[in-house]
Amino acid sequence: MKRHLQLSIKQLSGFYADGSISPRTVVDHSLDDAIKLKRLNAFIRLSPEKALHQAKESDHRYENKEQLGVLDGVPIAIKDNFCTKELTTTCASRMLSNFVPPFNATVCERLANAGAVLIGKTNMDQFAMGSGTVDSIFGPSKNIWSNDLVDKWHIAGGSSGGSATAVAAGICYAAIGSDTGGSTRNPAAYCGVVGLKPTYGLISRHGLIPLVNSMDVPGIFARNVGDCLDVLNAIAGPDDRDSTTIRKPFRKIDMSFNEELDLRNVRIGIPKEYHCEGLSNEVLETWMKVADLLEDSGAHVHQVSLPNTSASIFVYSILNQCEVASNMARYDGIEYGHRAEIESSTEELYANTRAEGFNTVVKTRILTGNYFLLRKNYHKYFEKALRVRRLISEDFKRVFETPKNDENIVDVLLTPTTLTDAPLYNDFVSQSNRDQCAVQDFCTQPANMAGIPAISIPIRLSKRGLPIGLQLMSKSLNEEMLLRVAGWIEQQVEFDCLANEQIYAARS
Amino acid sequence: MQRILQKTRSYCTVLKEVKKNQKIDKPKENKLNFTELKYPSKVPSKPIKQSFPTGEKPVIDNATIQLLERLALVNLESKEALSTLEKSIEFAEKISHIDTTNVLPLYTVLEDQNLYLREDSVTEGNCREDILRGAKVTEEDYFVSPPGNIPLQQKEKDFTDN
Amino acid sequence: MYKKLLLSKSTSRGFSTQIQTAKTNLKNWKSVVGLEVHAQLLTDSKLFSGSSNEFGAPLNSAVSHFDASIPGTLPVLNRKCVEIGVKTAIALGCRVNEVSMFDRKHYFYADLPVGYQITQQRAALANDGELTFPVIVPGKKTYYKKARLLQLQLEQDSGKSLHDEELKRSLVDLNRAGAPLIELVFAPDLETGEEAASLVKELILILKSLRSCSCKMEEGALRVDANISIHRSGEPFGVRTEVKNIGSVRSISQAITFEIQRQFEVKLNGGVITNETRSWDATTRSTVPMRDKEVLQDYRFMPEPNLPPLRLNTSATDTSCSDIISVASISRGIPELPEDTRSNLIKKYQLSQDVAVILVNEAKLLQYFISIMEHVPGIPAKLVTNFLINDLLTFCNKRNVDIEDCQLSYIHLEDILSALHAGTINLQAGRELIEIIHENPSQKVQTLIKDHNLEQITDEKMIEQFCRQAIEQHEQAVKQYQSGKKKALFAIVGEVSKLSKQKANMKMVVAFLEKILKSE
Repeated sequence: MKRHLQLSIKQLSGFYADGSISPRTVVDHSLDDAIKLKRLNAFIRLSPEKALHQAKESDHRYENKEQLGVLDGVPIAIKDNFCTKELTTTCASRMLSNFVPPFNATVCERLANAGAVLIGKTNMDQFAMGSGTVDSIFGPSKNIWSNDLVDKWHIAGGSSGGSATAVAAGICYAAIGSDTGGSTRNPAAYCGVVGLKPTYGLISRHGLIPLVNSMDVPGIFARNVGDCLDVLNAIAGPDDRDSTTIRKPFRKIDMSFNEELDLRNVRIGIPKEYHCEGLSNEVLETWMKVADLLEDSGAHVHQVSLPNTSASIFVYSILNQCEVASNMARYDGIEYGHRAEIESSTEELYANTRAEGFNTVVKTRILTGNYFLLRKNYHKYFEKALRVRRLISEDFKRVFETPKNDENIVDVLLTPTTLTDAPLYNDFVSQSNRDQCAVQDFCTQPANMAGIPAISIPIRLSKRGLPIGLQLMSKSLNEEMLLRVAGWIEQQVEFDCLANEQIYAARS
Repeated sequence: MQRILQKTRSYCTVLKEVKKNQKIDKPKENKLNFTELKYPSKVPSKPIKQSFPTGEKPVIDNATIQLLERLALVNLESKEALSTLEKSIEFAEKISHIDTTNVLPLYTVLEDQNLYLREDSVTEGNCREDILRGAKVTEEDYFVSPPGNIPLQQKEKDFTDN
Repeated sequence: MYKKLLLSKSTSRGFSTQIQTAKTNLKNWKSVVGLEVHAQLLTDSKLFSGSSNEFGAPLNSAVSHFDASIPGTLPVLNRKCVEIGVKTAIALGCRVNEVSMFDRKHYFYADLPVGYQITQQRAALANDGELTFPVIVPGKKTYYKKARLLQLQLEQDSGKSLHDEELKRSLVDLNRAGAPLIELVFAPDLETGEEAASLVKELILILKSLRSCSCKMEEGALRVDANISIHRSGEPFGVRTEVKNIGSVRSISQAITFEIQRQFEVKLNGGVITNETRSWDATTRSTVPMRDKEVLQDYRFMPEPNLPPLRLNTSATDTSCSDIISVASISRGIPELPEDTRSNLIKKYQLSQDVAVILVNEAKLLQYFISIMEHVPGIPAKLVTNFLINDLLTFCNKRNVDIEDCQLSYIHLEDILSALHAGTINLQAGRELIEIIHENPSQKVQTLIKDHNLEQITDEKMIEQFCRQAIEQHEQAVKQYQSGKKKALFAIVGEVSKLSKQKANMKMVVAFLEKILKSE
């Protein structure tokens, strides 16, 4: 086991500073691992030249004691729906398979400014529509925890599966994904890594090719909570180029771990509706145990109710399809992207370009979304969904801020992330995309409705050897509390995401 | 080195040097017993069932299909696709019974924030190369598109079982 | 091509006789006109992006990533656009909404790269305004008309596509894509083409004085579409047609008048008017259908998720919050509007309504008037306005020169009018001076009067001489005058004018002739 991989980002940075390891070496190893673990299909495209160049510069900086910060020289990966200048950004689609953006997404810019080294762009479901990373023109991504990576393998989750599995396999220290209905937390839970969905508006979406503009948030993958925080500190904060960022300046969160969290000041809520049909016994057991642990250490643990929870997937489905119908209208082949050969009329060209460039999932969502947005249907579906969305959001407000009568007020909610451990690919694809999403996104998607922050942390392995994670949610801009509680749980459960036979088998 | 490693967080379980070709030990047994609980659980032991009434099955006629295809410029290619569309609509019907009287639509979670206004100055543009570079077909600094205003040729869809 | 023109001319001539018949048969029928005006705002950068809003930039050079719909780009609202929108709304008597929102309007077209236009449909910037304006119809008395302004909204302009018939393709330039527009939706309160043209003239005056828009219709900075229908008095409105592609103020009147008549004609022949879009063809002077079949269009409006609501401070008292635009402080910055200028003129100078309207319509003329009134003490306003309108303006029109480009300076006009007022020169000399100065603007009036011998003849003896000469040559006219035909005098007066080379003081001539002829 490569020594450096046992380190956290802060430790790695510390070793860079005192010269025990160099960024160049670590990045070399990363690229090497990425190639050795090619069958995971975590990456759509590697960027070795750029990475080595960045590593070299990082080397210089450390030598001259001019390092940019804790992320300087740290290998990271970015999901392929974030625009990277000079590097193709495909969204795993034929439509954008040759698209090279003329600018960098703000997230990419900020990471580069912090010295992080980009190893490559990771695989995803086409245009972020899916929860398995199985609908990509580059093929599905595999879960590193699978017993067999040939034909009985498990999915990595989605839609940011590539990023999740890359971090879980130790190829990079952290990765960026996106989260619209659980697309970061879902694969994080399946792959046994930490997945954070920050508050909507905390991180700029400029350069993130959108799925649902009113819910998308850039997500962060890391192997531990502390690393996750390091990345968050580097990228959070308002951006003039994105009018949906929160204007309040972001103050970096400092969690010195020497300070023990006093759980007696923490109120944990267990929303009963999250025990839904289909929740596996193991996940249920995990949930109960962690709640118990918290209670045992002094936290106030209460059961609460979020009555509109189960309506969330229906609302999400409507809003998602309507936004998709709108956001995809720009793909016509005239200014960029795939262009069909038929030139008889504008309408023919557009129709053919889109037929060739999109997969069935995307096409069906576009049609359905257009149906909902027809003038005669607008109030019945789209506007109705927005009203129910408010009900869901108010459910959260009530438990976090303004409880009724004798209801309890809580700081953090503890729920499962996914209903089961990672399904087998063969089982997963037997269901339709919509049904897959409906089942898998049940626990993750309400947080996107309300725009509140949520994090998934790995707890233990299931009987079949696959990770099980749990989710924590809190009110807007309460990332500090969320991460503290997550960090505490992490220390209790001691889940080692790199204690994985597959990784060694692949490396040797 | 040892001193530094000792200071590392307890999360890092493998502190000793591991030789390159040596396989790692089996994953450590969880020190936590997940079946043992000290307090009565706040997690409900049985799932909370929530039923959503099944509404009428939506019927999408040919006229609507043609309209949607023309508005979306996406073709409904098969019987499966039509069935997916119908199922999605049925899915969406499930919220129609929820009482939303006096509940305003939530367009954005940032509805209480004032829209940021930019100063009126020229800060972008002048990047013709960037703009044209991605286009497959251009003509002397123009984008090229076929003639417009010619209605799409649409065929009747026959998704019957013949 | 020529044959086609001939044909259409004869058809239209035949048409107009038919109109006469039509009009008499359709006396109880009313026409209804509603206008939709799009005005490009005078800002440096575009509505949602920082690319240049300049007219005539090189192809695709004033285009940002956002304008080109590159994925991942987001809109950011330009403060100045909101300020101009609010300013215009206040000037048009609207209620400015405290909260307004943006929507996406979806349709596919080559000049709309992103597949939708960002506009304001459900919650616009302002509503419920009105515009009261004078309508000048030649031959009729000037009257005032009121049109309600239903909605004022901010929205994006589209790019431009050039149609290449030969190679069967469109060439697209996105320079204009995303440029800021305000759309003004007027209620169907108008009845004729002249009313519509007058409304637009007034609107142009207001927009120009506010510096909201350049109003150059030839550059597309101001676009007018008209919705027209006819119905029998007492019955509900008929089916309307939309007329687009109206390129000038004059065309507005022509296009609408034509369309109204066309609809009458259709009705007269027992036909049915279809809800369609028609285009004004300036060559054939007619409206032609724009599309073969009106395709069913559903824009699938959806709220723009990337722009949270726009909030304005609508309270009367200012708060020092710089984040939000204060409607009250914008209101204070509004200059004098045309109608106020008119009423002030009428009050101060006792001008007639018609004259006030003409002066305000031509900014330069108004400036001349004000400066002359200021610098030539005691001069009667009527003298000035008569000269400016009947003589100067006419001269410019004849020579096809815009009054803005007139070569006469304020000093020139002050001097001419002083001389007229003092009786040094007569009106004819004044007219001559206009012509001369237009060719030689560097000369001074006093010099020119001397050099060209333009001084009026006021010497009594000379006048008598001319008069007697004229009388001798017009015996017939003298007899007619003496027998009661007063108008016959003009022939004699005309002769005096000729003899004196238009320099005799006409007042004196007339007085003298009257005296002499009466006594004889």
